Amino acid sequence: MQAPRRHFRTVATLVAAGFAAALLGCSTSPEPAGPGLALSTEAPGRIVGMRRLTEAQYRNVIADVFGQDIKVGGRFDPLIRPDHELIANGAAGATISPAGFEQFDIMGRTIAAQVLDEQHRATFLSCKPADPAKADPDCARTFLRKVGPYVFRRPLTSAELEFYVSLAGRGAGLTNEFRQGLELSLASMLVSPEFLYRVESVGSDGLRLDAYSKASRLSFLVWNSGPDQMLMEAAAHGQLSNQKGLQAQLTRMLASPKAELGARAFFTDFLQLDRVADVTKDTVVYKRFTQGVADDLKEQMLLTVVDHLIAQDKPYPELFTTRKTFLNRRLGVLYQAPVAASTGWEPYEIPVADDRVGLLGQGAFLALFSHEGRSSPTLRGRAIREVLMCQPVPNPPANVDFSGFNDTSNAVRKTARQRLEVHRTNPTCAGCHRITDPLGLPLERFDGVGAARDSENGAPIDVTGTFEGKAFDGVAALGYLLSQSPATSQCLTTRAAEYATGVTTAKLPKGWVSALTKDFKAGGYRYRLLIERIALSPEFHAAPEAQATPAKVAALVSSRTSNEVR
Amino acid sequence: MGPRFKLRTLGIAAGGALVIALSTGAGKPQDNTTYSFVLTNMAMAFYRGDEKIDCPEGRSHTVREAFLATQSAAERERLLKPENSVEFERKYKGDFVNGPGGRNICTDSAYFDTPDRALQKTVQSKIGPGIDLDGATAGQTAPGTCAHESFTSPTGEAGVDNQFFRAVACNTAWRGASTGQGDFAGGFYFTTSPAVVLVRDVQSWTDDPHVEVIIAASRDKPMLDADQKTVPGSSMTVLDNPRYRNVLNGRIEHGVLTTEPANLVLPYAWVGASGGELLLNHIRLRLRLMPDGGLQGQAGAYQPIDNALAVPHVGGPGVASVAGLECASVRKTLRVLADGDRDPKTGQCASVSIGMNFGAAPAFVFDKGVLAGSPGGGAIRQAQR
Repeated sequence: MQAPRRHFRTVATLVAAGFAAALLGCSTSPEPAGPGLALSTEAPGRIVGMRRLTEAQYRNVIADVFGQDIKVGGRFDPLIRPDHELIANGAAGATISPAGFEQFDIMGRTIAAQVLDEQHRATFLSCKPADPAKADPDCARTFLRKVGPYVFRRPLTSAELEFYVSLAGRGAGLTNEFRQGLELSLASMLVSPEFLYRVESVGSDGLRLDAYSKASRLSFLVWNSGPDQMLMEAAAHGQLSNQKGLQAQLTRMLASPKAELGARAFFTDFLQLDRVADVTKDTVVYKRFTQGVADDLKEQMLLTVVDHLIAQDKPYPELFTTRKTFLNRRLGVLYQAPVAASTGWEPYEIPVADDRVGLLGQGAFLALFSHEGRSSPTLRGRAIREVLMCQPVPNPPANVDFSGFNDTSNAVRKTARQRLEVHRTNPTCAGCHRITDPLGLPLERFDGVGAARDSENGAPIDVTGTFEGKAFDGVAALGYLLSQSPATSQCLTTRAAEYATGVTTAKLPKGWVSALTKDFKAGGYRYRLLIERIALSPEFHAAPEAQATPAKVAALVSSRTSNEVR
Repeated sequence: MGPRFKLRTLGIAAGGALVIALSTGAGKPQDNTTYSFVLTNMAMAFYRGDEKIDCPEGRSHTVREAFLATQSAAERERLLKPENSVEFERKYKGDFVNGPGGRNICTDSAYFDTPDRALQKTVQSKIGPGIDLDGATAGQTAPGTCAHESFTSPTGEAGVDNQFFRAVACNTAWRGASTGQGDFAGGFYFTTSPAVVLVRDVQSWTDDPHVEVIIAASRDKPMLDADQKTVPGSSMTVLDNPRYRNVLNGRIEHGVLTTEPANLVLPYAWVGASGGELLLNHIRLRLRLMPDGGLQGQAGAYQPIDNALAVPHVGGPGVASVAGLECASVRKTLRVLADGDRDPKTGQCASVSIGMNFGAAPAFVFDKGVLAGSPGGGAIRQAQR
């Protein structure tokens, strides 16, 4: 039953009160342990980091805590990708707009209503209110105490618990329904910054994250979701403070199918696949490119990456040379390849005669780093430098004359290489184009949506180039050279470290990336191993300020050799 | 009980076994003498000449006009007054197009095909599109056919049999209100009832004494581009139903593939409507392999009279009340003009000749679980541009 209209504002105020109360922090008082996770005997330590949940993380957490059949509908405020950085870094500085908060509010209410509807209620609500038309603090407390720790990803303090119990009571009073009061309370938790943000606090030493912040970092890194019951219990029992306990949890988590979600999330951020959804193409030029194709290209890339790195546990550099990918019928048309399965995806091996090899040959990469109506050797070359090698390229000056290059029907300069010659010979432009174009031009046998072509305007396409002093011909050769370049593996390590901690390269502890890269190489460039090394590093569990202070970092790193990772 | 922790169903793990099973043996062509396509067009061929020559008697009547013709002059005048428009619509869209038991003039045109039903205004021009189906010389009637006049094709081929064109090409539903073709000349909707074409045993596309052409229904819809045109290179699977697997024998001479007459059956559905079957008896194809890897050409066949009204039938009651087609008149005209499948006992012909344009785009076709040949004989990449 809908709450009476006159109560609406009051109810809305209560939900917002939950948000405000959480922002301000609640006082604490010890509470004996009961059913569910024990209440915290003390408030979380000083907050040292807040990262807003991504849409995928929000959805994963809701699915993990309340079940996959709980529908999440709504619009998420976009997270901003800072220049040359990851969205994970942007999440660390993300606010919530009023409109975005309104959406979170609607989502929270909808989720709470589903959790407590007739179909799902029994799963979460083990008690029955004495009177369904009235508040029942004991029953509400039982429910909130079970659910709360998984929503906030840490035990509730007794003050927090009582606050949400009182919200449930006030809601029940307004609506004359215990259930609606509880819904209100849960909805309020779901708009709390404790839920919407990954709030990281330091432990008693002020240098390292507390146990639950560690658990959260770990679970979001490996699963892109919140900690499960076992991880929360490990945190509660101090098992994440020693190498053995941490390793045990990590091994368990990496073996879980959910590890695929973690890899997907990282590579979506690393390869900027979040942008694929926004790719638009001129349908006059590329009649076959639809939003569905764009979505499929992203999924194809993720399937390829995850299969290679997670399912097959193959070295990361081989991603640049692999001929194995996945196709569905829609992409079969783009790739001009047969697809037997009428629905879904099937493995596909690129024929040896085809130059479409590895990450660079993936339609997602080729379409994303192109213009709406044409391919772009410069954007592609820049993406190779910036995305895959972590080598930032300056933006072009504002007054560049692109007309010559944009004239794709030029009768004399028929190919992109010929048209770009102007930029490479003009001293103003040459500085950047010399480092981007030689890497982008070899991809010119793929048009702006990633479809293969042999010629441009009737002229043959030259796909030769040089990379790190070595001449090559075509995508397969370029992919091989990239696979052999230390820059690509170090870039992955750097981005993974940034992703794991939410800080930029400049703020990462000195020497950490080098150590990780060395381990990555020694371990055969296995992605799982990299994640494991990151998660077991003292730097991963250090408070951000501690990372920035050389003396403190030195103290932490010195513990690497010991069994202690606190 | 604590909160539930459910694992997501993960694509790779779950899909792996399935796709591996599906891809077994599917990646390589069965042979290199089979050319595979998806049918893109098999629509009535339409020739638009000078309307004064094609249709000197004017356009065929609509349901509205047919209804008015049944009324007295005074009643016609009354009904056509603006203040009586509601009554007029109710009468002609209600009583006139509907009969007892929910019958409708288009979905049950045989019921309304009464002796007093007026005929369509037929094409009087000597020029019409299509193929010479009966091979009869002028003034003669070939065995199994009924006497009829032939057209000369726009390219000068004599003896063209296309009584369907003769019957409907002065009807606005086919001819169109102005310069474009009418809705019903749009052909059969092979995006909703997809079909594939396999040309097998091709040793030479210049001259080959025997090739086999399979036209079969597919369970997959082809990919369409922004212009709603079929994209070359779609993957299609042949429907496992022998009734919808039509095998035609043919030969290639000077680059033209011609098939021997054979009956063809394909499932057929209109957008948003329940389907039926497309029946084309004694169909012949005359096709060329195009530089883009597609097939283009003509088809000619004899279509059973009621099946020739397949589009109006499948379109449902709205074809009469909305599109205004007087289906019973069309049916009666087709009966009068029918020239194929002559019943030796009654001397009546049961089907009507029809000429169609035929088009197919190169496609990957999986037949019985195996990739059948190559799209357009390997011209697929060129077809993209």
